[in-house]
Amino acid sequence: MKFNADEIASVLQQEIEQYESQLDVREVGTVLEVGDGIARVYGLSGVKAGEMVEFATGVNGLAFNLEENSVGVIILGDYLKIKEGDEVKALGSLLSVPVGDAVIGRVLDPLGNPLDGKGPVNSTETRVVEARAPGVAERQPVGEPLQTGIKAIDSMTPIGRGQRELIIGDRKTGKTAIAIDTILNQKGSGVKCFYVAVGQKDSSVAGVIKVLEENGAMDYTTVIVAGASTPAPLQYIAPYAGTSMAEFFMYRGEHTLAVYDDLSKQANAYRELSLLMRRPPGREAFPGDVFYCHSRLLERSSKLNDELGAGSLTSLPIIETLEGEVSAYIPTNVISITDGQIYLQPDLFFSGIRPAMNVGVSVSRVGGAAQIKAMKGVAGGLRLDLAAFRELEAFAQLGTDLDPASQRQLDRGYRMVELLKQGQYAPLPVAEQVCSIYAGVNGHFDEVDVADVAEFEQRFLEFLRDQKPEILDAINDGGTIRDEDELVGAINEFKSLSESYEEDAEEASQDESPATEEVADDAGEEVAADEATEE
Amino acid sequence: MAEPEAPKHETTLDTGKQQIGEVYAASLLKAADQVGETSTVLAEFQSLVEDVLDVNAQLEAILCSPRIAHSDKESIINKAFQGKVSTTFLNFLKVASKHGRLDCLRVTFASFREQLFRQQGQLEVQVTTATELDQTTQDSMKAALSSAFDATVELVLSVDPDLIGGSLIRVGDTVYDSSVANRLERVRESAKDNTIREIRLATERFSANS
Repeated sequence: MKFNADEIASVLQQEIEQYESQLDVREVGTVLEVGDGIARVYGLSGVKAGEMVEFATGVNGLAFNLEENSVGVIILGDYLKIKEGDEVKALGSLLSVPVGDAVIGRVLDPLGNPLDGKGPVNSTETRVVEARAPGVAERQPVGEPLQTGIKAIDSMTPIGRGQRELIIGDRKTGKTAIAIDTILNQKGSGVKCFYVAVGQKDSSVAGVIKVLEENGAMDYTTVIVAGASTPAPLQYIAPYAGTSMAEFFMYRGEHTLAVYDDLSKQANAYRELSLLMRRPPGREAFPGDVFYCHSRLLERSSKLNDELGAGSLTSLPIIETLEGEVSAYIPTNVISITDGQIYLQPDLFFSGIRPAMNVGVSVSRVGGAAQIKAMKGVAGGLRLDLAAFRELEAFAQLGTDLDPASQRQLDRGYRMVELLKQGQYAPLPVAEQVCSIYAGVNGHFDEVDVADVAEFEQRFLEFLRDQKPEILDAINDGGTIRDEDELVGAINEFKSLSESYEEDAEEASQDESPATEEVADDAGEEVAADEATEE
Repeated sequence: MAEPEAPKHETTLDTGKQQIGEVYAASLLKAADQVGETSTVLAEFQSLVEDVLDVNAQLEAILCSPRIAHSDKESIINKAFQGKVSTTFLNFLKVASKHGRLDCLRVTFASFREQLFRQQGQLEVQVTTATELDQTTQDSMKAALSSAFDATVELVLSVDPDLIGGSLIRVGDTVYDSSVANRLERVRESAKDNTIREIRLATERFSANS
């Protein structure tokens, strides 16, 4: 678009004509020392804790430490241009970020500045970053499910809207993958998603954004990035900024999901700030209020009561452990704050069980209240069954002969483990999950080879989608399995179909097999010939 | 080696020193009060800082050095100041020397002046203008500020041509800025912000094609 210069000039002229000169009264101080994202300021005698200040370069800061003779300020931006002796101005306001529909689909920094090159955030509304969490009277118990689309989670550790479920595990165990799958599964459900990346490699964040874009998830998602190269103050405030953006929708009566990836890095940033500010270090050198830092963030996740619009903010904080050490300071803190945790284990991950969730240790304190009836019905005994299976499996490894009943339980267990495996970026609708878990729990997969379970399940679900959509619709609409006989009938019908299909396939492979052998023979001869020439 | 550029503000704040200075200043003020010599001590202290320490950096280094014994410092103080300053001030210097606090002289002075002014109901107001003020303007300004702040105002004048016009009045940490430079900057800011907002709200109005 070409701009009309005259029109702009007329607006400017109007501005100048209407400008009313007022005496500019400001509270000031001078920079005493600056570095590493913090500054010590002399003066500012009336500044309040958490108040915003502005440096001469235009960069903002937050009054963090109020001391007898100076004020410790954390600098939210480029601190390299600030010099000793610069004037600092108190702004008399709190840090706030732009909120509203304009932030959806954007990639922003923790102050709400765009990072995606799609122009400014056209938002008229802002919201303070450090907002107070809703009180007891403003909430209601969590009772509505937030479907993650992951069978293992939706069946055994269900997450409700307004819940805080920790995802914890070592590096490279698929923590982010679970969060991303959950975001992808919110497509069409009206849940607004906020992915807060703290202290991560910019390359991994770019990867996440690409996945979200490819799967059409950026239409309802905002990504807030404070990468590893961002100064500690911005990493520290990023989760609060993301929460504020989500809260706006929650108070509007909508449902939101916030993913904090990850809070261990945020705790490290906060530790850095606190040590630079000379606050006394405590355990693992974290400051005394690191618990409060996380608890006040996660308390803001809630399910509001009906008078306030019944909106919700579900959060999935992520914590990275070192060598499976969950009893370190930050993991224990966040475990105690959240309403349950999904514990991911590297050995499960490497043995091919993905998501690598340890079923025994993972819990959801909201439990069955956050499940639809159908899922509650089929998955009720799943956790116990799997626990019994693990025990039996350990026993069976001793090589003892088992009675047929135990052997059957063992076989069922192997198939259930196989059934709960799920690919990345492939969330399943809840109705399909119910059907496949129903089939597994009731032994309908028992005659399938363990290695074939995944493929068998996939074909079964395809069959349901194509031939029996009414069963899935009934679960979606009523929340229950309308008629178990109908579902069993469908399973049997599929089995008989697939048997005949397999027979056909076998015949076909028998026809083809001589040809493949020939090829193999040829290849073998060629190798032999090559060897001969070399000799 | 070139001197590093001096920082713009007057004191480099050392929180520890500041506190010590305040304590010494309070004691000195009380001691001077008892003998009724506060203004003499203030003048002597000011002269010590401005005429001696500012001019003779070596003397300051000697006084500040913890490696020079109290007895040596005492003899220096005696030789330099005995008979020329009031007994209260001389004793203060010796006490400070005895406790190894001569390095806090400057902060003690700043604090002493501040505490004395507060005691006397005086208020130091820093006024920066683009050009030097004539005596009548100074007097009227002093009278206006005195009634506004309900205190005897002591003006500290300075000139900064960058202000273009108007004045910048600083009382403690509060700045009352009516300078032309600041006003122009604010017009620029608000005009820019409002124009951008107008463009965002009604883009087609600014299109050259329409």
